[in-house]
Amino acid sequence: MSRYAERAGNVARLITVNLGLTLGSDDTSEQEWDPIVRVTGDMELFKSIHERSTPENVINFMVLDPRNPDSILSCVARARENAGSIREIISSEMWLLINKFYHTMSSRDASKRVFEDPNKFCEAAKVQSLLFHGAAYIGMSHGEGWHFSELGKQMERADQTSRILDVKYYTLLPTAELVGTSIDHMQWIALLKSASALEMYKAKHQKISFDTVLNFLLLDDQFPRSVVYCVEKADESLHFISNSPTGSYNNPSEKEMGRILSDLRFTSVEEIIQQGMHEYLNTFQTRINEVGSRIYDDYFSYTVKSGALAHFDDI
Amino acid sequence: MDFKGYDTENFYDEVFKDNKNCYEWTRFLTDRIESLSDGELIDRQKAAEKNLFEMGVTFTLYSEKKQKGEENIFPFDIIPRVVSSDDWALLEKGLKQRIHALNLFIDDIYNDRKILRDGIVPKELILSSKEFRLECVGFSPPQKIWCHITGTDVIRHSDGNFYILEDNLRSPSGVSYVLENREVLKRTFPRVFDAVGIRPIDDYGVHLLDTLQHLLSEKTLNPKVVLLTPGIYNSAYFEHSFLAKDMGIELVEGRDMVVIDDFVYLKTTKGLEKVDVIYRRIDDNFLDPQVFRPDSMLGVPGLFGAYKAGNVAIANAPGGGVADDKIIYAYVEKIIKYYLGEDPIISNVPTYICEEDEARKYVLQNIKKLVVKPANESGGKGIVFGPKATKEEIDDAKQQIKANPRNYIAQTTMSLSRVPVIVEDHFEGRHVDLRPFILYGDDIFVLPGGLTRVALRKGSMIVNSSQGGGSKDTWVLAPRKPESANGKRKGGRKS
Repeated sequence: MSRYAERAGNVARLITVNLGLTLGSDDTSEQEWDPIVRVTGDMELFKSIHERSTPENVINFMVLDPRNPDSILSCVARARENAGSIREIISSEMWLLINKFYHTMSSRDASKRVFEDPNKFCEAAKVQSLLFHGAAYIGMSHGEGWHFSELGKQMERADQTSRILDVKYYTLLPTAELVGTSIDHMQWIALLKSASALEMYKAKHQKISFDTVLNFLLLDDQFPRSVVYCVEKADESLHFISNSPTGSYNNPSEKEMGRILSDLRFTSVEEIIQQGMHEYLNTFQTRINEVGSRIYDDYFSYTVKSGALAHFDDI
Repeated sequence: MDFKGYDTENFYDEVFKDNKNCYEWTRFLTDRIESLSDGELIDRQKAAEKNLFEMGVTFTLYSEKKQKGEENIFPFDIIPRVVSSDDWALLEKGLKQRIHALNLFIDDIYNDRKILRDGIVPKELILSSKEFRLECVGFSPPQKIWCHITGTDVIRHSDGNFYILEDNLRSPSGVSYVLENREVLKRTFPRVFDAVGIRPIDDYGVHLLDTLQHLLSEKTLNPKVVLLTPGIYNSAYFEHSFLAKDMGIELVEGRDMVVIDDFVYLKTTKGLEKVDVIYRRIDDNFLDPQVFRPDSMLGVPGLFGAYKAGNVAIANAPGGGVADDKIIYAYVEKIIKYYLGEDPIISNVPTYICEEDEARKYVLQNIKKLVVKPANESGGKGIVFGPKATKEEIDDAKQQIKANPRNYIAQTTMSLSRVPVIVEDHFEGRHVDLRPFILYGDDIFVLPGGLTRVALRKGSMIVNSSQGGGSKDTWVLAPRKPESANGKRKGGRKS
């Protein structure tokens, strides 16, 4: 539930950032919109529906297309479906918010509103996602149910940041001759914005350079969207659920999550670059997905009290 | 909007005595409504609908495969149905009496069978009932309570009297709408709630939990109660999760529980946890594949054994549906008399058992005024509605009754009372019934309210939601003044 609400918010954020970036540049080239689809990993599906990555096509595909499982509409619909199946566990406010969120996305005039002002529409979606997380944080006891939901959200966040880095890095890197130019800066700023990280980054590092950006988004121990921060939080929730102390493990998901966390804690940007950024992120995504399915094995497939918990995020 | 042009059309109206005058106890309502400026009432109706929509009290909640399937709220009309305190006192007494007697009847059927031996109710009718459970013979549930939660359908006829239409002893639903409708109306008419004594219903969850915990309170200090649902695709799932949340108990499916040595346990991430009471919202047949339907995936293998061993209580008790049978219904007045020695406070709809000679004679002569129902069919199958039937249908029905009187009952056609509803820019009367909810725990408790279902189609008497029915909030009024003669006010305030 929280996982899909998170994803919906992230997609909305990606689109608003890109709209801001391409505003004013007369080069509405398709390669500026391509990455958005690539971040969520839906390129193949996109190509089967649309020939070209025009802004209109990408926005349609990413916002309201029910065929795209990662469109905002699809994410919100799933979050709501999950929420509906655990209504007795979540607070009424959470349900009300996610239900309203869904209705604004699925109402008849939604596509008209997207067309007229995609920025306004996505901003609203972003805010609704934030509201939902706020309601979850303060409206639910931080017990087992909340930690399951938190776990899904944090893993989604870690995954998302790593994907943004991967895709952007990939498109940014070939322009080596532009290093230090204003176009280069613009791109890094956009990258930071995509992860809602620009202001916090500036407050800490002021100057923009590519290795500090990587460091910030991957390894900063205070920024709530950095990969290591999210994994740390996910690890905490996992230990809350199993009741075993952090730093130890008593099931396979905890063991693997602990390993990923240690790897992140005891590495440096230099080492990652040396090893190959893309490979590193790719391995990370595979591993975190692996943990997801281990959690499923450990807690759900044996139908452990599934009535209440099986629907948590379909972890 | 006002009631100037409102026409009761000579039906019994719950708000208006006649076309000009409302009842003394509904004046506060008509005054308040008429004090609203033009359009404001409609705005409030729309706001209430929006409210329900956002709360998700809608159809098609779980089947949104595509964007297409549009969601609709259950139709709701903001004009409440008001029940005077006198009417309520009667209803409450009558319902308590009926539930009390029916419960004694069920316990008797499965144990001493006195009522059968005394020939009050024919034995064959019990044995042929689909809801009779041989497995329950010789058994009494904890505290000898069988029907813990009942949702009796009541109507008011044109003679102004209430009649019982159906007993619904098995798994009655609708109480969540009662509670949600009230939440909405509190926002719709906040000032009325301030000023008038409308009896609160918000504590239903507390009463329900008490009722359930009462069952095993002798064995364990704080019995663990769970609500057993068939799952999210069940049409009443919303109500299941609503009630679980309201009581603060866990909502579970059959696969979440396991039976070990005749004890029932809930599987949790921290191990097994003993379950003492199960509020089940699945039919008897699905409870335990080892005893009932072997193909059931919804129940728990071994559950019935644990139940009979007295280690877990189930509400409502399996087997209780036998008193909820169409033909047994015809005997309920006799049942009340037999066990309690009292006359029924609320009557049945006059029902004729065609097997009885005199009744059959009456039915054959007056068939055009009656509704003929096959005794063993359910779900409205084979019903002949006398006033609207063709000559062939009537002749056919007559022959069937003569040939096989045991298979038929007939009932007087009843006229349901009406309540005003908003139709575009004015009011029109629509027919309603009422489903109060009754809890049988330490004591018998009737929730002062209930689901008022309304047939929104003009002229229709069918209140089912599948056929154009909607709902209304039900306001039960508190007695006018607290009995000052008794003068037992606490707190020492001088008057």
